[in-house]
Amino acid sequence: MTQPTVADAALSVESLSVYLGGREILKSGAISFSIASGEIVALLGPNGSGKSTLIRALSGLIKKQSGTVKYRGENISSAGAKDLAKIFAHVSQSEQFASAYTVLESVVMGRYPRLEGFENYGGADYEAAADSLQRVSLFGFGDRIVTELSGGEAARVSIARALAQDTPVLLLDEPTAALDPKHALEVKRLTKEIAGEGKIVLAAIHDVNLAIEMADRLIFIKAGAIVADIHSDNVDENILEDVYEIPWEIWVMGKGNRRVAMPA
Amino acid sequence: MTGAPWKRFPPILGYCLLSLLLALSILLGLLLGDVDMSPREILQMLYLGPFGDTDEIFMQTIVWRIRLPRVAAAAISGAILAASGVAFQSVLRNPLAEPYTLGVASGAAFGAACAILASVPWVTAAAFIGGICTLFFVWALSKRGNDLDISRVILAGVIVGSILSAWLTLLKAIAGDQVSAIIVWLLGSFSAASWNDALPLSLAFFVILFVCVSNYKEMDIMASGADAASLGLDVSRKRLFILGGASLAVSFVVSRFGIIGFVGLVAPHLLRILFGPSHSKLIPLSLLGGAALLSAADTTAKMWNELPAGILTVLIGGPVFCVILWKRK
Repeated sequence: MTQPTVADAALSVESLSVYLGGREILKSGAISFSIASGEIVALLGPNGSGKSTLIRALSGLIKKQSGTVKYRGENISSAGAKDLAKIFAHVSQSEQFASAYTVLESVVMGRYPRLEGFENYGGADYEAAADSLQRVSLFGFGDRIVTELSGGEAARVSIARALAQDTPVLLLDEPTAALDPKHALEVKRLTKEIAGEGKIVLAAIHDVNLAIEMADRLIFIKAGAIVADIHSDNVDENILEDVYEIPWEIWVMGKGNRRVAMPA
Repeated sequence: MTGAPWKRFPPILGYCLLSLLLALSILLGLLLGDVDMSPREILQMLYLGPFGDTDEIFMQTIVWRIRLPRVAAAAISGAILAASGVAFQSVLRNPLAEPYTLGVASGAAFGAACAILASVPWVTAAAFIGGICTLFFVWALSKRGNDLDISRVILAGVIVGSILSAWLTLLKAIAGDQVSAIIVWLLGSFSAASWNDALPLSLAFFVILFVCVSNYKEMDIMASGADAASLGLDVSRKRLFILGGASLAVSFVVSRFGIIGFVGLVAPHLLRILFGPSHSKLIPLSLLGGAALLSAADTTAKMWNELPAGILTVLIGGPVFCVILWKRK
């Protein structure tokens, strides 16, 4: 059983539901799970299944219709934006940098939830920002203009800003979609490193194989409901076929007997 | 894109240069006029103060009662317009946002024209109400659910502005003798500025100053394109506060001095290109830049057959607007 017991669950979600435009995107009673500290969980499912919606609802970007979200036993379902931003850092699917800020100016914005009132970013905040840039291999990019970066560099700036936010939970929405294999691998390594520090990573991912490799646990969502919540090693053809409605084959191959899933 | 990083000027250069420009244009505004006075005499009058019996009562009156209120009103209005331009542009994430494009100015003009036509004395109040009402109407049009859809604000502003312009034309057509009063109001000018304007103007100035100083980090986050809510920002509340404050301040200026277009567009845009978009620098630079720009425009207008300052700012600002559009293609 991979589901953590309630006692060691750091983040728990019970019966979360979301309505958007009169439609029930996440069905009530169908979204419940909990995650332990240091765990990496991948959200999988077809387009429009509700993966991004779940992530956006947790980070407070869209309103929850009902349900309870608890962090370390404390109910944060109706917490304010600033309090949520101290628990959840969110990297969105495709961030559009709209203004010509420098990379450092953009990343230090991740420190905003920690500031009070008129207070400006201080030395510690810029240090945290520089450290985050180092972690996504953007050291020395601080003075570059974000609107002039490549897609992959821009995606890493978003990740760096979320790291600078220094929250116990990191929510990633398709973190590697804009990245080449090398930088995707780096994000995978970084994700494991972050989880190693005892933080929770919850990532919506389309690439089944990346999810299997990166995550400890896979949560499959289909039509706004969780249909499977399994350990990554337990993924099989039936689950994939049920979720994506196409036949799959799973191969055990290469060094280290890696499991590779492919549509058949 | 790789290559050398974009070169930006250090903000200290901007502060120094713009302060110098502002001081120069204020001095010129005091110096130039129908009565010839030397810079020495001007400074002497400033030193003597507005009150007291002096032998120079004539020159003292000109400096303290005519020229200084005018140049001060132009400078403070310029600062207010530029800073509210910055506020609008950051919150709506659109460099073309300003009171002119949001319909606030047209609303104020319509209100003023109605008051002039009805021969009621409260032209300023009517303009103020017209501006604020238009803004609420534009907001209502741009709402989607409970939140403002920022991509619709400019569109709604332009459409509402056009409708009001048509009504204004209709009013002018039926105005008869009063048409000249409406036209003079519409042109926008500081020639009638007096010390009576000091209180409302400084109020408007402190409103916009407070809005900007208390929200510079929030403006950065909203302008950056980041998901502001996930960084802990209560977006709709902040938006309402910033847009409301900026509109209030602008309505003060427009209702008293008429429509002065493009100051809120040109100054912030140029400064953003030269010094970067960070609001901790952009706000003070825009206050200085707007003040320098409008006081210089007004002095030029004054020397140019008392041309209304509003015309001059549009004559310069219009082409700049075109260039921005061109570059955004």
